[in-house]
Amino acid sequence: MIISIQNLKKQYKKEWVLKGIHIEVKTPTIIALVGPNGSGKTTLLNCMTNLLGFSEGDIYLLGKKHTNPSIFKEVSYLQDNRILYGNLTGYDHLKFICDVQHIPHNQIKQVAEKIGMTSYLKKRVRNYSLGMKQHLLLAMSIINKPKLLLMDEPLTGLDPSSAITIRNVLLELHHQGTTIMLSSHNLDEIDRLTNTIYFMKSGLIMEESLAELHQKQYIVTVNDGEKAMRILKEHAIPYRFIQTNQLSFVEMDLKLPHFIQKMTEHEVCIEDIDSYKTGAEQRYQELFEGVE
Amino acid sequence: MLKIWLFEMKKITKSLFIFIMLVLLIFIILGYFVFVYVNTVRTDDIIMEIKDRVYLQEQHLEDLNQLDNQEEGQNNTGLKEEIDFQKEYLSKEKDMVEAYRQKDWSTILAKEIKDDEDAGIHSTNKIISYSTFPTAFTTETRYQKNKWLRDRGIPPVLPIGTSSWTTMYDVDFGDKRAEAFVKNQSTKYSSTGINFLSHVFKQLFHYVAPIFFVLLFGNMLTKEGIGKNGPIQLLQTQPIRLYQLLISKLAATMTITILILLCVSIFSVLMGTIFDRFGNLDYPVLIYETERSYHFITMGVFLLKVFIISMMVLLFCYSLLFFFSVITRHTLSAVGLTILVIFITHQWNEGFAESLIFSFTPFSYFSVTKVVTNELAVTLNNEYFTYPTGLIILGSYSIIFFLASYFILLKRSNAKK
Repeated sequence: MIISIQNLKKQYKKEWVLKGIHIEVKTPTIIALVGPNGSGKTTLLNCMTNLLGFSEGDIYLLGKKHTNPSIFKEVSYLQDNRILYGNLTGYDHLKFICDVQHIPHNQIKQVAEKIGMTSYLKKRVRNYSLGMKQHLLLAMSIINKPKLLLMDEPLTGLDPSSAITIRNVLLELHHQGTTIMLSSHNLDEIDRLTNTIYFMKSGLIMEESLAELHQKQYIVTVNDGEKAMRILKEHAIPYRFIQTNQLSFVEMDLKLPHFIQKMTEHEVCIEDIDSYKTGAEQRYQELFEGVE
Repeated sequence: MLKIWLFEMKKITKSLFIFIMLVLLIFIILGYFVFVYVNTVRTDDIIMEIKDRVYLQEQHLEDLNQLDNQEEGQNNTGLKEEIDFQKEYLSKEKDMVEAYRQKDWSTILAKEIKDDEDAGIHSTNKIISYSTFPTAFTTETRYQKNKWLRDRGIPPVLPIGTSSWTTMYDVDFGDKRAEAFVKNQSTKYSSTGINFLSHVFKQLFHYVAPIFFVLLFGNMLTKEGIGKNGPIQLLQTQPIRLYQLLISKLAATMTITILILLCVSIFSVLMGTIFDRFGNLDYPVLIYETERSYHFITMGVFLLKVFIISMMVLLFCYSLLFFFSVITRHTLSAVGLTILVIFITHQWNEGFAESLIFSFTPFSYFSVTKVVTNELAVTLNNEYFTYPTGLIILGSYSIIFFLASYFILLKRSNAKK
């Protein structure tokens, strides 16, 4: 088991911030935590890394209790940039992690090159831009080649090219077998990274996957809607009536060539086919309309 | 743990705040050196002083000679004796001028010793001069100190007259004017390297240094350390155990403290050596004992003892700062509370200075030089208040506060499940 969280509850000043989180991750996945501010995303990540206590529940990461410091040999946590020491250089930060985790120092150069931060690696962090700091935080969290990477808002303050770099690095890590759990408000980037999204609302995980929603959907306009519906019922094909002569289907329920063949056989004329995909943003709007 | 310690060291040494504070410290020491240098009495000052006396003496002798000429034929034996006495006195004064000019310390000290012996040092009525300056204790210790200097060929810190040496037993000075004069004479400064270093410790280590170091490392031990957020979270999300983290932080703080104190010491001695001379590590320092007894230790031993107990005082301050930072989780609150507690307990302590509790309170040992010279113990008539007790008390309290902080943090960590 990569992540096992059972009934996690966290109370803060008489208010329940987490109200019973259950998460089980068995295979390497990229998981996005999405939710409005105050929904408990960072709290969940901080609880998982033992930076915060909690009231009830159990957390196991990679089969070990989350309070065991040795988990950090295989678990990395990318936090916000307040953890950086302004007086030290990026190199100092990476060297420290290499030292305490017994990683060869030549990894520093490799990681810096991969992320594209060699030019400012030896500058003091207080002179870094927000994007540079995010790069450094990423480098610090992947230098130990973790099996589990937890990330709190890794895409904040990034210009498009940095976002692409970080996305590519994360996808590469994922292909190498790393499980990544990240919180973010950047829903477009999330769509590009994963279709496993945990929508968090008021301390609960509302929905665990967008896999179904990510199926392609079709809106078909025909010349005889009633006849078309009769044919679909005969063949037990699920559909949704939109308006006169207009029906919608989910790709997993209906293969388009098969549909066209049936309609042609029964002399129903297809006038138009339109396709669309539901994304994180659309689902977010549906779930959290008016929340923020 | 060594790697964490090195990282902590790097954080401190690269801190701009610490750099600024150290520059400030250098300027304070420089300023203090200028003050000490200006107020150091030198041989030229003494020569001028004696010459003034010689001039007046010569005037007086001339007057006596004129009187003697006017009374020629009359056999005024009293006047002749007076003239002879004045001539002898004048001769001695001129010899002293020459001795000071030649920096012939053995002659100068021999004269002081002889004067004390002529004045009957060993027959002083100790009951009469129990608190009136110069007390028997003061005269005796001054005599022995001069012998120590003469026997070891050590130049004295000037001036060396009777009124330039006081002890804690000198309470009554007759009148305010006399008191002011004696205190002015006995407040001696020396800009030689070793003596300047002792001035620095005496002045800086009475609350100034603890507060300075608490401010210096407050940021490291609190804001970045135990606060709610901040860089500590980087360390907490590494395969490092809590005790390793805390010990490394403490070790780094103490290492830098020792380095700063060593640099301050070297800088002070260097300043003195460049602008004056090195000084002498064998210079005598008076250590009080019970029943009005005493002994001398060398300046080298004195400075070493002051250095050690100063470190213990700072260790205790850090433990207190650490404790408050764990409790408050806020930099300014922790630093403010630490400084406040140091001040308040100092004031509060004086209320029961003669009780047994006083010797078991760590704050009582902040006057490090008075602890080393045993002056506080004798003043307070508290036999438990000694240098070794100070080291044990400061060390014990430091351990207690550190352990308390550790267990609070551990409890919080365990409460996380």
